[in-house]
Formats: sequence, structure tokens, C-alpha cells
Amino acid sequence: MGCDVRVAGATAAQARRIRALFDRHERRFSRFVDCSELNAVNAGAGRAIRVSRTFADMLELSLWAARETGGLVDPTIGSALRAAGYDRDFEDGLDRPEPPAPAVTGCWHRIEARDQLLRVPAGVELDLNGVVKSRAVDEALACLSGEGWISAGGDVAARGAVDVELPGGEAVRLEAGGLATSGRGRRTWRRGGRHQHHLIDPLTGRPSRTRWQQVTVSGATCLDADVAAKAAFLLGDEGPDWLDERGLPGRFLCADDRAVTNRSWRRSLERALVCT
Amino acid sequence: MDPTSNDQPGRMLAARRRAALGKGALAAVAVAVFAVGMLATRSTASGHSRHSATPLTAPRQFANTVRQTSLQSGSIAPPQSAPPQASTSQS
Repeated sequence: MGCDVRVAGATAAQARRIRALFDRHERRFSRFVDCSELNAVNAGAGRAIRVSRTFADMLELSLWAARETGGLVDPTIGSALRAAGYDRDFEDGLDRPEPPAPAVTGCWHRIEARDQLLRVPAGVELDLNGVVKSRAVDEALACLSGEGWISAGGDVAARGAVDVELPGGEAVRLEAGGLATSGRGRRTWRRGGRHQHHLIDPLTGRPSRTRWQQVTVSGATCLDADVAAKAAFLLGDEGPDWLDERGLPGRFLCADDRAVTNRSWRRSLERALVCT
Repeated sequence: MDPTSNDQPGRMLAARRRAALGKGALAAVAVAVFAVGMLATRSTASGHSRHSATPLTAPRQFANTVRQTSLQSGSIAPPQSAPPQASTSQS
């Protein structure tokens, strides 16, 4: 998944299971593994095809994320990512002189899925990475028998309290659930002289021009946190209030490394201080 | 005397009884067919209401499912150790 996975509190056998779990998800859901199930599904767009139980479950979560965020976390951004230049692994270099091409997005409600039978509209490409990594972190946490935590490229899930370093400095204690950060800090490249990143605004089909650099959210699960962080990032100025309406603590890092927190974040920390 | 002429009124009466019985049976069948037809129409025609009107609210099971699957908050507090054990940077 193009990130380091760190595990604390696992036995050797549990660590092996967690490694195998991430490897399996990488092989199944990566756009850069030729024989991945995701690529097979995208190649079969326009036709009804049968997918694995794991793929069907992950797609269901992706559609749930799209519904919860009003389509902001969209599983049909595959062609937009490719059009923006994210068509190979980061290690292979993505900078190109030509400008990004137009792309189709926002087609998640046209996906037809019934149990393991799936039909993606013709011309639409899926990318389920909006949920795959954070879901894998939650699944990995379930592999632990006792207290511990899992961290994978910005997504953290913990059983028992753990102090977590935040983007731009500072730290917070994650007491339960998950913590996820989404942003454009590290994964950027240039197309036609303009910076590109992987968080696509489904309204434009282009990388979002939000003012936030990175958004960190605390959720009941890592998946909740990650989906909310992506939506809050894409919403721009409305992000903090959108999280507050759902009672989700959020921290927004600006381009000048200034951190802005929403009311739920501040209230959570104040409540914790009163309780201690 | 001709015995058949003596039986004539009896046969007429029997014929009338059978005719009346037949008419009654036909009327009963017609009523039954009408009733069944009307019930079938009421229960299948989209223009007919089968149940009394109820307020538009989501079924409890659906509402519970929606509530369970909404985005939920985690629990955070000020840090208590330095340096922090884990890190969250962008995904």
C-alpha cells in the first residue's frame, strides 16, 4: 500500500498474520498490481461480473463512505487519479510536462452491486483506497489478543491508550478508536507545471484545491476517522463545522503549519483534563 | 282414469321447485363471484388502499441500522508520554 506498517503489542504469530493481511489487500486492491482483482473489475466495466467476498465487502464499505459523505469519498475516482498523473507507483516518478486530462467521477450511485455480482458503468474506474488501508488497520487491530496499536501511513487504531504524534508537531492521546490523517503533504507530483495530489474533488474530477495541508480526525474506528478526514479535507472551510455536526474531533493543518482545531477536538481535550 | 293426468300437478310442482332451486343457486354463485372479484380488486389494484394511512416514518430496524453505521467519534485526551509512541501523518 506504499506505506510502512508499524505494530505494537502483537505476538510473532499475530505479526505474521497482520503482514499477510496487508499483503493480501495489496494484491487484491492495488491499481499497480497487474493481476489485482481491482484491475480485473475495471477491465470488465460495463459488464456484470462476479467478485470475491472480500472485494464485495470492501466495495460495500466504499459505497457506505460515499453515502455518509455525500459523495465526497468517491470510489469511482480511478480514472481521475490516472488523468491527474497517478498512473504508477510513486517510486517510479510521476512528474510529467503535459497537463492533466479530464476525467469522469461521481458515478458511485450508478454502481450495481448485489451480493458478489457487480456491474460498474462502462468508462468508470474504481479506486477503493479511500477505505482499504484504514479498514486493513482495523482488521489488523482485531488480530491482536491484548492491548496494542497498528499504524499505517497516517492511519492509527489502538486498543488501550497510546500517544500519537500529529502532523506539524504536538501530540494527542488516543484512548479508544482510531486516528487518521489525510492530506497532500507527502504524495504530490507535478503535471503541466501544477502540483497534483491523490485527494480528488469529485465535483471537478481534479485534485482538491482546499486550503488545508493535512486533516486529522478521531473516529470510533480507523475507517470512520479516515473517511471523515478525507471528507473534511475536501470540504475546505466547511470541514471543521461538518465534523462538529457529527461530533467528530478534527485538527486542520494549514500550509503555514498553523493548526486549527474544531469545537469537538477542543471539547474532547478539555473534558479529558477535567476528568483527570 | 289416466294415471298420468293425476300426476300432472305433482310434476309441475316438482319442476317449479327445481327451477326455484336453480335460480337460488345461480344468484348465490353470482353474489359469491362478485364478492371475490371485489376483494381481489381491492387487494391488488394500486388505486385502492389496503391499510389505513400511517405517518411517514422510517421503520425502526432501518433507523437503527442507519444510526449504527454513521460515522462515530473516537476518544482523545492530552498526551501523557514523551516522545509519542505512534505517529499519524498524511495517508
